[in-house]
Amino acid sequence: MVATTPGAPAVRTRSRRRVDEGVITVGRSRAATIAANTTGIVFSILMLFPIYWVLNTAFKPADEVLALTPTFWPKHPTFDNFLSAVKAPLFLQDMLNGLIITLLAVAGSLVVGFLAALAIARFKFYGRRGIILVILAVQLVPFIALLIPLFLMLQSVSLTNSLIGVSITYLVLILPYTVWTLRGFISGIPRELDEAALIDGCSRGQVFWRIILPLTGPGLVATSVFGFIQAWNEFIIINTLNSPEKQNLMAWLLQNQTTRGTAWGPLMAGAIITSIPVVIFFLIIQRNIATGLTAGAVKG
Amino acid sequence: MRHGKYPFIIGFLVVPVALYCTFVVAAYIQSFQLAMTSWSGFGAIKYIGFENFQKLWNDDLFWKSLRHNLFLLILLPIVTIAIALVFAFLLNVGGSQRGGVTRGVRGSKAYRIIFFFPQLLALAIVAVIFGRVFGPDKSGMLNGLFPDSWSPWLFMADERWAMTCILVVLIWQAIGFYVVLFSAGMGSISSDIYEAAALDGASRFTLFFRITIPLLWGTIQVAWVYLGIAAFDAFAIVNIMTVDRGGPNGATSVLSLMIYRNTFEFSQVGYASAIGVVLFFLTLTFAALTLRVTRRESIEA
Amino acid sequence: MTEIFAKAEVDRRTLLRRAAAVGLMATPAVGMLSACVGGGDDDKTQQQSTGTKSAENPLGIDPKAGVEIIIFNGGLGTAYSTDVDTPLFNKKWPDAKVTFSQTEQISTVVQPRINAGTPPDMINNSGSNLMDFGAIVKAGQAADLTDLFAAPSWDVSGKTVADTLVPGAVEQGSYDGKPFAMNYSFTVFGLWYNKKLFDSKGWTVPTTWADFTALCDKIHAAGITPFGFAGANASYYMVRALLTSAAKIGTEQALKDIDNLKPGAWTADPIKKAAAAWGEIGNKYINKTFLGLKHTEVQLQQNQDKLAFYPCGSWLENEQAKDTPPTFEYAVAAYPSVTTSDQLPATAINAAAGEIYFAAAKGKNPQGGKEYIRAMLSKEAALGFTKLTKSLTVVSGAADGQTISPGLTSANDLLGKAGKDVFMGYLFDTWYKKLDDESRAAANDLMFKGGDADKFCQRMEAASQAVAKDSSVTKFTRS
Repeated sequence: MVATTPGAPAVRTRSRRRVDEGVITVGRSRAATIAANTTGIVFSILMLFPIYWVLNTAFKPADEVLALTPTFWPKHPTFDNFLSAVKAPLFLQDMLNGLIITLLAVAGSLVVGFLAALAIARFKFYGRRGIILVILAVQLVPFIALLIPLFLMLQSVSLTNSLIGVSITYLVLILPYTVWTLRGFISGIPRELDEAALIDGCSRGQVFWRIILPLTGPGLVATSVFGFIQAWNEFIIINTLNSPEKQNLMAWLLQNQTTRGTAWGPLMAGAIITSIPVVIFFLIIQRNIATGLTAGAVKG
Repeated sequence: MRHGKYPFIIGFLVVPVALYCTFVVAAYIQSFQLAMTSWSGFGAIKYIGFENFQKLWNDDLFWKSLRHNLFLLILLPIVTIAIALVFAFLLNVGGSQRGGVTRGVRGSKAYRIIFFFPQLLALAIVAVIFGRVFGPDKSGMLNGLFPDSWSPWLFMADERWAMTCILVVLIWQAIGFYVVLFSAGMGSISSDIYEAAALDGASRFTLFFRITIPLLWGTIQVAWVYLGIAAFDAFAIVNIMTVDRGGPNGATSVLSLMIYRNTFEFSQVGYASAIGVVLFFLTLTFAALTLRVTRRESIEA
Repeated sequence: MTEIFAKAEVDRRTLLRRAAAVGLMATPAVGMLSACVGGGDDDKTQQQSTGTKSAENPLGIDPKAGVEIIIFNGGLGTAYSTDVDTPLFNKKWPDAKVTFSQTEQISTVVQPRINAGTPPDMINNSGSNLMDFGAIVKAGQAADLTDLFAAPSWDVSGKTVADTLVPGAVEQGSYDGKPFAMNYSFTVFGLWYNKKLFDSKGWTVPTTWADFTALCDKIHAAGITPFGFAGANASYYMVRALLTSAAKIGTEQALKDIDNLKPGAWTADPIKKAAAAWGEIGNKYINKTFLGLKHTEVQLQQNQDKLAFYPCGSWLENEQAKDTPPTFEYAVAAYPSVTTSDQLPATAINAAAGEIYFAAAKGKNPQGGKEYIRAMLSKEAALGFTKLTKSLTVVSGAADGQTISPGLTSANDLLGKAGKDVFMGYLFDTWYKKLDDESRAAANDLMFKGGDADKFCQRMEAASQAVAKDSSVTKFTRS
């Protein structure tokens, strides 16, 4: 019997179960290992194949793309598609729009969401249950159904065809998930910390700012990633609300597909460019995502 | 501490509550209101009571769409969660033992990133890509892999299989996220429990079914609800990938698509809102049922 | 939109169907979520510029006042406006500055301005996001174009503007007898094919159905798909082919009955015969994979000589301009006669005007807007338009004698041969969207799934009567 705190020195006995960084060894047979590795590889291929195909097409010159028999490697790889995508009218503008809208929406949702989660997690008050239910209910219905009233409402305050209007809409879209996750996080922070700080003379505000906020860090990171993904990739709402000069990159991409028939090369190149910010953001943050996901979920 | 809390509460909640009330609650109310009208999107609004719902009851396409949504509702969560659990297990536990230092399947850190990639791609792009994968003639990716002598499979153009193709795409996109979610969840299960079970001589399977799954139950529950909600949506994929938006012959129509078409193509906003109302209650019922039926004691780790 | 996004429709084709309807009554076209277009109680009128009328200035514009125009950027582009029309306009009115802007979303950009009382002067209402023109007319926001059409032509002496246009052009933009819209481009519909391919194989364009099927057999034997269309997003091309044949059998009255939702319109003899004839073609010759292909993919296959006949409109050549190989020369044929007792001759064709341009009644310079349109209706501008967009205009004879492109020449030819047997077609696809939707699915069913003409007719009849009984749908009629 060995104490099994993570990182404890190894003790090697086959009948032991060890935990190391969240991974458990169970008595293992070779066959099982091989099977596991194979499944992993096969699955990775399945996950990645379409993405590989996007890359493949994006680097192909136009004539290779249209050839009826697909080839698995561009014979004459070229950056032309990327250049034509970037030079296309409104591309850079829409990219900028997308960035502005996404950053506004995510930042806004973090601030508002954090405060709301704080109130819900730390205080007991009349109507708390109701608010939680309302927040959940919002996530239930596909936004499509709310699009009409939303448009009418925004039009009545002249917020259609504006970046702000869309930012606010996205904020509302991301908010439920943000509040829910942050709530889980904050609940996991022991109240004793609050009490200790209060006894030491901190005001409530300082407790929130100095203690809870830093501890919620991973949660903020995780929710910001998902918020970013959602806002950056959204195209239906912004298409309905805004004119072409005020679209984001995803909407630009899809609109360009139709007016001239489908130019696959530039379309795939555009898709890659559109996905880059998200991928970069994700790669930077991915270590913290796991922590972010679980603290909220397992504690329920 | 009781005193002085209300200013905080109100201050913190006033913005989100205000946002919700104007954007969401008001939108819902207006949507419900519109469901009782025959409004076309412009011009005068005429109230017609429950006529839209009567029309809905008699509309074949509505029932078809509902069936398709239910098809997704049943299969999407089950298949996704099952595969994701197996994979998460492999990631955490499937590795070899190397001199006592354990790890998951070799390269599991890389796998975590790889599996997440489909999530990063926008749904619209995924739809476009899979439209090509499932291309009905020889230029489609899958058809291109088949030997030349086979006549091409119709995939999306085939009424019997189109909905299955949609399901495959949805699963493909969702799996990565849930693998990472479950894997992280498994990682935070305390070792003591595994210790105890191992001491009692549990095998790998028993560990999986008797310990891992019950402890992950909260996460699985949430995953089920989210996937179910996605099954009620599926708008982006269906709109882009399918033949004639919901075809062929309504074989891939879903409720969210009906809402969109009735609003923007058929100028029947009232009817679309009625569908929205139905969708709302369906989703609500599903979520409530799922949470209630799968409720279990949560284990304090 | 997309198209993938949510928008799977190419703007031009959609606009064509819609604009064709403008002529007759208010259209329920793409309903945009605009609350009101600015009704009669709108007294936010602004100062409007006027000048003195004269022979040189028939519309009485102020030569120094600027004109603001907005053009839809779609299949036709906007070069015709910036490179042809504006320079022409400014040659005559050098002091009138033309402020130009373009958009792909007319409704989103222009509608709010109309509501606010500050619309641009001349608006090109087009695209899949176009405004409901009927509502605009009803709300008094479109300027009356009577004076425009009565004014002398820009560059044809001795004729009024109306005189220089093809017959029916003015009526198509009229509501309750008054013209409010100018429908500019003119599209010819028919069977498009590769002239070079046909010449090299010695195939001739059929005029009877028997010839048609015999030719299809030959083409099939050569390993080429004789006939096809894109089931995934353009099955309404097939609907048009079918109904054109029906009109040839029973005159345009058969289509008018359909538009009027007359009971039995869809099960009438002409429709049945057309459906049976086409169903057979679908059964024997169509490539089943086309059901899952989009229009550009099928059109590309035609460019690669894998498909012989393709039902489409005269925008086709321009749309495929980038992908057409030098071995391909576009030509169009009229649909062959179905029976020997067809009421219209084999040369009869279906052609219609599209692309609405109108002057905003409450703009700063509506007369200036009209003058710009008058410039567009000159032979010089019309020719420039045709050269740039490969599309004919309603200005008759503007493209005569010009070889602009093979497809255009062929279309012009067809128009000439048809003479007075040119009919506009049908409007139900813009009036009753659900019926339009049903017709597409039914056409796909007919052509790809076995060719049962009776099923087609009964299905459409049922749908038509359902629309007729639906009180929530506004009804229109045509005579």
